[in-house]
Amino acid sequence: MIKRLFSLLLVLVMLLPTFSAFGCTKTNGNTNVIRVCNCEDYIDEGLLLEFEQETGITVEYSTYGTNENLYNELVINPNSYDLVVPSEYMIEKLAEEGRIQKLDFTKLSGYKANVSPYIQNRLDNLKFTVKDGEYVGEEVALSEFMVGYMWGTMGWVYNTEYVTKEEVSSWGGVFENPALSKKITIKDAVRDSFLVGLALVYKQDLINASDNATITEILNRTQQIDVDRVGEKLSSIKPMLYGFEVDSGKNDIVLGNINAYVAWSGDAAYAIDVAAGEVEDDDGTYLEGDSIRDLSYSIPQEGSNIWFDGFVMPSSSRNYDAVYKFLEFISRPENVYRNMNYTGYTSMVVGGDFAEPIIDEDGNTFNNLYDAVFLGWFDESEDLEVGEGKTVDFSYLFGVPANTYTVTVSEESYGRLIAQYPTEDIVARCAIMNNFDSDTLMVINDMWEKVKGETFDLWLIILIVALVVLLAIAIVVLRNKDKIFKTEFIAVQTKPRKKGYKVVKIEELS
Amino acid sequence: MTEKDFIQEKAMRNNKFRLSFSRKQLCLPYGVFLALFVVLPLLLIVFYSFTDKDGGFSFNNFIRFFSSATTLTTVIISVLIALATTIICILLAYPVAYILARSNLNRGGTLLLLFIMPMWINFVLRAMAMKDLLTIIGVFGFNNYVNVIIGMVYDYLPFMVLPLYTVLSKMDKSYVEASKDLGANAFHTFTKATLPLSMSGIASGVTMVFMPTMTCYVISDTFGNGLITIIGKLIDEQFTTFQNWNLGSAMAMVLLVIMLVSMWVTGAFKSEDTRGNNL
Repeated sequence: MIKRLFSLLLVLVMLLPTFSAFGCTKTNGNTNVIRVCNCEDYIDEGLLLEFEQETGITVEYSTYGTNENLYNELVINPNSYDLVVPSEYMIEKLAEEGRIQKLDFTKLSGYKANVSPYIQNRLDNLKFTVKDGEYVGEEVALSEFMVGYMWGTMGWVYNTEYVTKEEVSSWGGVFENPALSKKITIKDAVRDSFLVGLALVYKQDLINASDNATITEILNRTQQIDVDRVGEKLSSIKPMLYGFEVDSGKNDIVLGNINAYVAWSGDAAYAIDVAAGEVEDDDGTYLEGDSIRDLSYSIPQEGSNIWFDGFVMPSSSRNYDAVYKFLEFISRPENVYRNMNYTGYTSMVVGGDFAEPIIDEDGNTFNNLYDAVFLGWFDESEDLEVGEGKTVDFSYLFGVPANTYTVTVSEESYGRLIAQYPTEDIVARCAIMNNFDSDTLMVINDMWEKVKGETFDLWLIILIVALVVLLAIAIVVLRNKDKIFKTEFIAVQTKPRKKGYKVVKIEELS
Repeated sequence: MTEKDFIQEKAMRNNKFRLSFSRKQLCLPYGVFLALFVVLPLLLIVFYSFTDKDGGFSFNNFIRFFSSATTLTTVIISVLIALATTIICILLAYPVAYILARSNLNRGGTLLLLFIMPMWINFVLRAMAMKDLLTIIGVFGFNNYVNVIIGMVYDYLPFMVLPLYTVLSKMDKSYVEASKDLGANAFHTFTKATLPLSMSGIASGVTMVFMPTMTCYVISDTFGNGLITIIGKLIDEQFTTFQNWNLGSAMAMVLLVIMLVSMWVTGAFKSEDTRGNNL
């Protein structure tokens, strides 16, 4: 019996990989240590060392996989970090539940001066009511809790050889081309695919909508009827899909397994560079390879998602000195530039002079973030004939009059440019997706399960279950047939086959 | 000083530089491990599966599970994929294990090592590499279910080969000789002597392949491009994306029952048979 118990318990051990969330309780009384938890591969880790050298504060750096994992960690052990970096919907959820605290922006003058006023304004306008904790009942804005880190959009990355610009100018275009069947992937993440579904279902409403508020309302519809429609729509496009993915898409499109995929903007920039043979090495040098294929990025005209990741401070942390030092350090223009180079994503900090001019490998000298980012990376105006290319105006990001900051690029580079710096018309059509409450999540869960899985008819389910049960019974009977049928054996002598041998045949006696 | 005291003192002197533990004491570390990492989490699963999100007692998680045709289909698909994988693994592994155990090919254990060695490499890495390799060869892509089963077989084959190899190499050859002596042909020797004697190896192989296959969603995601959902993936999504620990725990409980039944069916509980044959 004990052995049975042991083998049972051993099997149970195999079942428990999902329960790794048991955190150990740590308290941080030491102000010379700051505990930071960030998304994987989302910072130039050399900066952490420089911060330690400059301030004498040790950074205990850890990473998380998904926003939900981070949330689980903060619920189980609220006192585990001084700073975490979730996305905007998770920041909203954490703030609503009173798990994070407001920041004192008078101590963050460097960040305030250089953050994009346009983006700050959008975060200021995202207001909600706190349901629990220190600020219960208060109406707050998202921007009170976070120091912006990276931001971006979502759209199609496509292979220009097989997919036309028109097809990716809307969310549904690629699904109307039979040649692209089994050559498309969408996200295996319910929030992202739900938004694509909404955009497909309410295409006309979205095109007719002229202001951001209307678009935001449509892309946040979560009534039962909306969820049902989205479920039907996603199920109907499923046969066209190569698959659902979260991180294999950029690989698949470079390898040519797929020709279009729903991508987050940072991944899009990365995929386009890899396919073009321009991959940046860890130490910042470009590796010139062969151009494999021409990829581009498009944010469909209906509208899309705009997302923001930011640093927030859990309620229990009292490590203010170290936290504000760290936030100011990470928001310095030269450090922002390094992080953008490293991650490929776009920072919410857009302006500011470098402490020392940065000289790139071509010998260009950049004095501020704007020059380094736009002039260094994108401006091709010198190589273009007069009248060629597209001139894009980014003044809105800096809060300066129109046509102050413009960049001219060729048609081919335009997709790559908007992957990192979408224009004002585009972001005006991009909506922030709110956090789903738990009832909505239940409804969406059912829908997503049906989209992702198969649903057999009831008779087929019963038939298969019956067959499996029969098989199990058959195995049990076979294993115990001696006991059940009480077979006895006797030896019967038969004629020898060969001279000198006796053959004994064993026969059953029933 | 009585004689008893004297013996005790002598024993103590002898043991001065020796550590001595009773059997119970030696079991203590594992007992603590068991309580912390096995019994406690299991109790938590049971607790979560029978409560709702406010902590009140509820059967709703199980009702939700069994009333959804999609979840039931997912369970069926998982069982079928696991069954197919297990059968293919037996068919592939038995001849290999037989040859390795009987012939001189495996002198020095080199061939066996080749079968076990893949297990030393991280299986996520292996799965991704194998997917790319199959894509290049052109085997990959015609049916996602076939792809997933290929992936599962690739990953779990060593777990079938090893117990079979152990049983077959330990098997007393005189049974086979006796069977031949008594006039049975090769087929009968196999079905009447070799196979029944290796049943325990098959049983432990089945236990080690069938059950993990039902939950190993890394393989089904990688090889099925996210288009095949198995029960392990559903459970994962409840704990991560949908934040519904109660429903996730209920799913884990159902899976637990399926596994207990399948262990009973294959006779893996009969530890006398399988002693020394497990990995």
